[in-house]
Amino acid sequence: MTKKLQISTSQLFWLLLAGRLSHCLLLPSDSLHALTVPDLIAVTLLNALILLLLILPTVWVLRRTRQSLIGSRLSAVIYGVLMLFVVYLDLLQFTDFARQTARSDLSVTLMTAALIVTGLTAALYGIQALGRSALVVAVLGVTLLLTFCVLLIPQMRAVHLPPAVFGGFHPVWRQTLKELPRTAEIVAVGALYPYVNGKPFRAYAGFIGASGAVTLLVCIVTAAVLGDFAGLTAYPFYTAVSAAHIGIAESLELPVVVLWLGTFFIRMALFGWLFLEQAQTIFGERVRMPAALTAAVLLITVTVLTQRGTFAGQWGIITVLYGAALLTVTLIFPLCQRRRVSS
Amino acid sequence: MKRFSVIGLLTVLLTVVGLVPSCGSETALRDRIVVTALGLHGEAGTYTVSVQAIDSLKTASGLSEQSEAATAVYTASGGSLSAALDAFLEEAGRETYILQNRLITVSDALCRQTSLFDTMDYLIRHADSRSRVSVAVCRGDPVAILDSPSGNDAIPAYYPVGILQEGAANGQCVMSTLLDVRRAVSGMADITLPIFKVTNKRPVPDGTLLFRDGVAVGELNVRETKGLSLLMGQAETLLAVIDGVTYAVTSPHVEVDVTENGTQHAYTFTVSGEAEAVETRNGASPDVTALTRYLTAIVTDTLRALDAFDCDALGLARLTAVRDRTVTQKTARSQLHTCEKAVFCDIRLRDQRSGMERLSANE
Repeated sequence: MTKKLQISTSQLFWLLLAGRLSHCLLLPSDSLHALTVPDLIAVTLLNALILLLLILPTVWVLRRTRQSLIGSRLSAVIYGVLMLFVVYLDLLQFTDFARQTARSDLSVTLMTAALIVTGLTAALYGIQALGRSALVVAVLGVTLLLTFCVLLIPQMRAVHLPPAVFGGFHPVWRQTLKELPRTAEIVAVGALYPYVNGKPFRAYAGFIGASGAVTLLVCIVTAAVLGDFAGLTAYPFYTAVSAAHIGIAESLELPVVVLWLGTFFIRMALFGWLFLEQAQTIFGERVRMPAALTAAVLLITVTVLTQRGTFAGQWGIITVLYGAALLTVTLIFPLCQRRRVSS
Repeated sequence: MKRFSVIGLLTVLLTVVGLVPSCGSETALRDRIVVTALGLHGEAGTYTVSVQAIDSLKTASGLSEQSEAATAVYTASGGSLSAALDAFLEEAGRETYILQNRLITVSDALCRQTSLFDTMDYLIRHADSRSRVSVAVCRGDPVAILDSPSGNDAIPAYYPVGILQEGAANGQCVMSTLLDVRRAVSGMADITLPIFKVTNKRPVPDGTLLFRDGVAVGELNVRETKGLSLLMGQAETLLAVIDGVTYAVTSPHVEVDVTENGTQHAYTFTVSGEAEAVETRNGASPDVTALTRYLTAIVTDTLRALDAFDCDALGLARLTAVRDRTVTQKTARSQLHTCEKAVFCDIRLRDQRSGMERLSANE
């Protein structure tokens, strides 16, 4: 079945990049811990290579058939749960950020509920509306990010970058495995493919390259400003930006938060929309609104109940769960699809 | 599409409004005082916090017109900085708002008793504590600095901060911010803080306090502070009076070179810049050799003092580890005070009368 509503290759690229910027802005401290610039470059390149390898089976299978990988209700259920899981992870990070850094007296529950409701409402408007909005948000996001980096130049020192330590290849490999689950967009490759007009592989490859470059830039700038302190603070880029200013404008963390919310909104809406598509595959055309409401209630409840503890502390189990899901949708699903098409 | 954009825009705006300070909670403006400077005093276990703050209720007709009346210094005590601020909240019934804080002063006695990192832990970790806040040490109770006249500044804290900025630009003091303290916490370099003394109710720079791993270990006098300012690249113009001639060294810069010297490292500091004789007395003539000798002497004295207190204020251990991959920062740090250090000058002296330029000659 070829989907009717389609977006262009460039829209897919911007859609993925806009969502990925939210991760760059709230870069976790372990992304920088004891990693030298060559290490960071190696992690970025290795990560990009693995991501490309992971999407290849899906692209190879779908290139001929142009059909959704979701051939059965079971796979739609797996995809649907996975999409909600990605949204849940993002919300968990949001609550962690709001409690630790933004404002300690903020009503996190209220903010979480507002984000979920608006994200899923936006998801109801469809992929085309999302694709067009993502272009604006991503261009604005990249521009602002580069502005922050330029403003931080006076605070940067080459000596702040970590010195080389003979740790071998192990730290690079360990960090690559840690970073891999953070590119959550990769699990959506199979689900998004049928909606893209043109050559989706180019969009995915471009996204992997661009997001790697942006992450690398943010890592280097943050390390050059904060030095080893970057590893001691929960959200180092946010802390680094607090040292930048333009004239009388001093609180530049606020534009970071605004930008992050914009990109986060696109990301939530994208994964929310993918969830609604799976729900529609399982239950039929008229289920979108009830599915959105159910997902909203579920996400608010689960996020509020599990938001205790730090996000970093929960990352271990998240990585395992996500790794299993990633392998399922990027390797097992294409193989099953290939067999189905052959038979 | 339009409806979608409106929803998105409204969400972002509402969320931002929720995050804007003062709108994130139910605390009314009248229940807050805006902190402009903090002073920490006392001893380990009993901190006294002096808070220079703007009373928002007294600023109805403009801060510039009411600076004297609107700002006041409050004092509270507690087992830690956080506890002292909580005690202030209980006593005064007003919450402190530290996002506008400009200056943190710590008494020298407190610095010598307790680790600066422990004392300032609350400020180092607090998200509202801005990285660009100036940090200084005060001889005696910091309340003297916080209570000093504000000069022409609407906010009194701007006055000592202005003194620090000017002092750092002409080598009278070194300027440190909370960002420097945060960097020092991670062990990249030792922190140094400018010392204030109060003379005729006015804060005056009076040397530099040196720390090792957050603990005060010694002081640099005014001359050594000038050398440190030069080494840290903070001085924009350095004035020196030698044999009746006043020299102004503009845009001085120090290049550090690290070389391996057997089992240890050797450091070469090259001071470069352009100098000008701005005033001469009793027929004295500018002498580039005398200037070179003077600059070499103050930098050498500063390096000796840093070695004597084993203070790595310049982050030389980090620099060594970055430049030489065979040595770790920890090893370089342990050997630093015994390493050989040489100072050279590359100064170009312009003589305004003759229009001639003379180059320095190292001895």
